[in-house]
Amino acid sequence: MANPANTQLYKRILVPTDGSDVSAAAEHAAVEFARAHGSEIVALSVAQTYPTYAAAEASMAVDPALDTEGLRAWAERNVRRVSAAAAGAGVACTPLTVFSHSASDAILDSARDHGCDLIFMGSHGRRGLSRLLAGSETQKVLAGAEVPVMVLRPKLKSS
Amino acid sequence: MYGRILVPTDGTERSTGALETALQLAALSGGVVIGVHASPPPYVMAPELGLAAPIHDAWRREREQLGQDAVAYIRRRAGEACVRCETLLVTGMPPYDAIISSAREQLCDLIVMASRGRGGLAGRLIGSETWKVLSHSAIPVLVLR
Repeated sequence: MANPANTQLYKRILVPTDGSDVSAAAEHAAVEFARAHGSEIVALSVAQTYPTYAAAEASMAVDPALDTEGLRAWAERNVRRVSAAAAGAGVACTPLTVFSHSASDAILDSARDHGCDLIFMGSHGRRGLSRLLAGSETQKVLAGAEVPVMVLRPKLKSS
Repeated sequence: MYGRILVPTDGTERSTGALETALQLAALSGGVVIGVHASPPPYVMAPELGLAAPIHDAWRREREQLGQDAVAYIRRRAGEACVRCETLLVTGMPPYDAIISSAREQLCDLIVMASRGRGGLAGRLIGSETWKVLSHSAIPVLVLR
C-alpha cells in the first residue's frame, strides 16, 4: 500500500443542511475538515414536500403545493449559509437544493450523483425529539450510504 | 486536524477498513491512533449459578488472545504506515461503553468505526454497538461501510 500521506483522502464532501443549530455545527466542522484536507463541498438542502391525498387536498382551504416557493426559498437560504462559510474559508462549494419526500433519499441520491466520497451530518436534524438519540434520517443515511459518514453530535446546552 | 483518533477493533476483518482510514487521517495530521479492543462480559445463562471455573478460564484465555491479536495487528499496521499508535484492552464492559469511556479518558477527538461488527444480525441496517456509540459519543464518529 502506498504511503497514506500522499493520497488525498476525500475529494468532495456532501454537507446536508436543514438550517438548524445542529446542522450548523456539522457545517462548521465540514468546512474546517475540507480546508484541512483540501476537499471541496457540496452543500445540500432538501425542500421536503409532503405526500398528500387528493381527497384531503380538496378539503383543505390552502393547497399545500402552493408553498413550494416558500420551501425553495427556505432551502436556498440554508445552502447559502454553508456557501458563505465555505467562501470565508477558501473552500470550493457547490450549492444544491432538491425537492424530495424523503431527506435521507435525497441525501443518498445527491451523494451518488455528485460523486461525493464523504457525508458530514449532525446526529439528528430539526425534527429530533430527543437530544440524546440519533435521528431517524441519520440512521437511514448510515444504512444506505456507500461512502463514509461523519456523524456529529450537538453539544448539550443544558449541561 | 484530528490529533487523537480512536479506532475500535473487534478482531474481525470488518474493522480493518476503519483502521486504514484512521491511519490515513492520522498521517495527514501527524496525529496518534489509539486502538481499542473491548471484551464484553461473558454471557451467562444463569448468573446465580456462575460459570464453571474451567470453562470461564478457557473463555477468558480465548478472549484475551483474540484481543491481543487484534491490537497487535493495529500496532503492526501503524508501524508500516509510520503513524504513532497506542493500544488498549478493555474488559468487563459492553463494547460501546468501553469505546466511549476510552475516548473520553484518552482525550480523543474522533472515533473511526465500521457501521457493523461481529454481532452482525443480517437484517439490521446498522450494528447495535455502532448505534450506541453514535447515540452517546460527544465527539465526531466517522462511520464506514
